[in-house]
Amino acid sequence: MAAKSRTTIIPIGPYHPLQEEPEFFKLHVEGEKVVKLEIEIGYNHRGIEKLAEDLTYDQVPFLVERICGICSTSHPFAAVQAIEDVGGVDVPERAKYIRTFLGELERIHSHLLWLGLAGHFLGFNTLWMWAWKHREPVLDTFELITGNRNHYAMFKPGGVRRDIMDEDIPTAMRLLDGLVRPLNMFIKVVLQDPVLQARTKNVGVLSYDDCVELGALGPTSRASGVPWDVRRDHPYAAYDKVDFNVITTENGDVFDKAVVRL
Amino acid sequence: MADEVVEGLKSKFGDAIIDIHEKSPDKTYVTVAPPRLPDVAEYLYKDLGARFSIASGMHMAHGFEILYHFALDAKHRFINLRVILDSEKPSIDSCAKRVPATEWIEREMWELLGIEFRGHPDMRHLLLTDDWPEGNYPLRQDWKDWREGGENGSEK
Repeated sequence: MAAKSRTTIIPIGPYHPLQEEPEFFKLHVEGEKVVKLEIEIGYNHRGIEKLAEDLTYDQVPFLVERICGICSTSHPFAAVQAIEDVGGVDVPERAKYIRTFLGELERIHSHLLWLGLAGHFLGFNTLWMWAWKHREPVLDTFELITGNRNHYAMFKPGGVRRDIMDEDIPTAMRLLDGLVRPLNMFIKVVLQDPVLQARTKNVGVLSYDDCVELGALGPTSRASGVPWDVRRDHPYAAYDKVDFNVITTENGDVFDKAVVRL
Repeated sequence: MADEVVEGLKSKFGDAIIDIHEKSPDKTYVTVAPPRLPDVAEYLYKDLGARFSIASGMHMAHGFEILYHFALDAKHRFINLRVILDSEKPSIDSCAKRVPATEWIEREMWELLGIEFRGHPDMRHLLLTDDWPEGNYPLRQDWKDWREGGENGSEK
C-alpha cells in the first residue's frame, strides 16, 4: 500500500460570471504539488461565431466587442482589420494612430485592473482599491474620447467612429500625466513589498519551453523570457511608427507576471 | 530573391504541397494534401521554430476548410497551412501529438464542425456541455437548432 503517494482533488470554481469568471479548475495535488489539472472553460460559451453568421460586416465589430466585458479594443480591432484585409480597404493615417492610442490606453487600464485583482486574491485589498482608483482617470479618458468608459464602439471598418477633438486634448493630457506618479508608486511599492514577494516569487512558474510548446502569448510569455510581441513582430495600425520597449523577465513566476505589466 | 521558406516546403514535401498563394508579403497560404498535414506542421514548428497561433475551421460549399496559422515572428510573417476535407465525412490526422498547442483548437473544431481528428490524445468537449447531443455540430451550414426540434434534434 505504502509506495503510492496520495492524490487529493481540490476543486476551484466554477464561479458566477460576476465573480472570478465561470471556469472550473480541478486540481490533483500531492502535498503542495499540483500533479494534474483538468479545466472546464465553456460555461459562458455564447456561440458568438454563430451569431456573427447572420450579421453584416458593419455589425460584427459591435458583436465581438462583447466577447470580453473589460477589453473593448482587442476583438473589434482584430475584426475590422480582417474585414479591411478582405476588402482591400486603406485606413487613414490619423485613424491608425487613434486606434493605436486606444489600444495602449486599454493596456494601461487592463494592467491596473489585473494588478488590483491580483492584490485582492492575495488578500491585499488596499492594493486592489488603490490600483482601481488610479485606473479611473484612464476610464475618464476613454469617456472623453469615445463617449463611453467601456464598450467604446470606436472601431469601424475603414477607420474609427469618432475623431479626437483638439479641445479635448488638454484634458486627456492632464488625466494621463496624472498617471505617471501613481504608476511609479506602484512599481516601487508593489515590487518591493515583502509579503507580495513571499506570496508570488517562485509560484506558478511557467517555463520558457512550456510557453513555446503551448503557444502562450502576451505578458504571460514575456514574463517567461519569450520575447514575442505582436505589436513589434507583426505591426498593425501605427505600431511600426511609435517607439516602445518589449519588456521581458526570466523567471516565469507570478511575481514576474506583475513586473512585465508594471 | 527566392523565398527560402516556400522553397524549403516545396523541396521537402514535393507533391504534398498543392498550391502556394502569397497574399501579401507577410501572409502566405499553403494548400497541403491532408495526409501530410501533421508532417508539414511539425516541420514548421520544430525545424523552422514557427509559433502555432491558432487554427480556423469553416464549412464551405466545397467542403470543410481548415487553416493552421503559424507565425514566424522573427521574419514578420504568417504561414497558413490550408487543408480541404470532404463534405460528407471530414476526417484528418490530428496534429496534437506533434504540435501540442493544436490540442484544444482541434477539440473545438470537432465539437463545432464535426471534423474528426484521428489519433487526438484527449478528444472531448471543450466549450459545449458534455450532454450536448451527439452528431449535432452548430457551425455546420445545415445545422438546425436541436432545441427547436429540427431534424438534427436530440432524442434526449
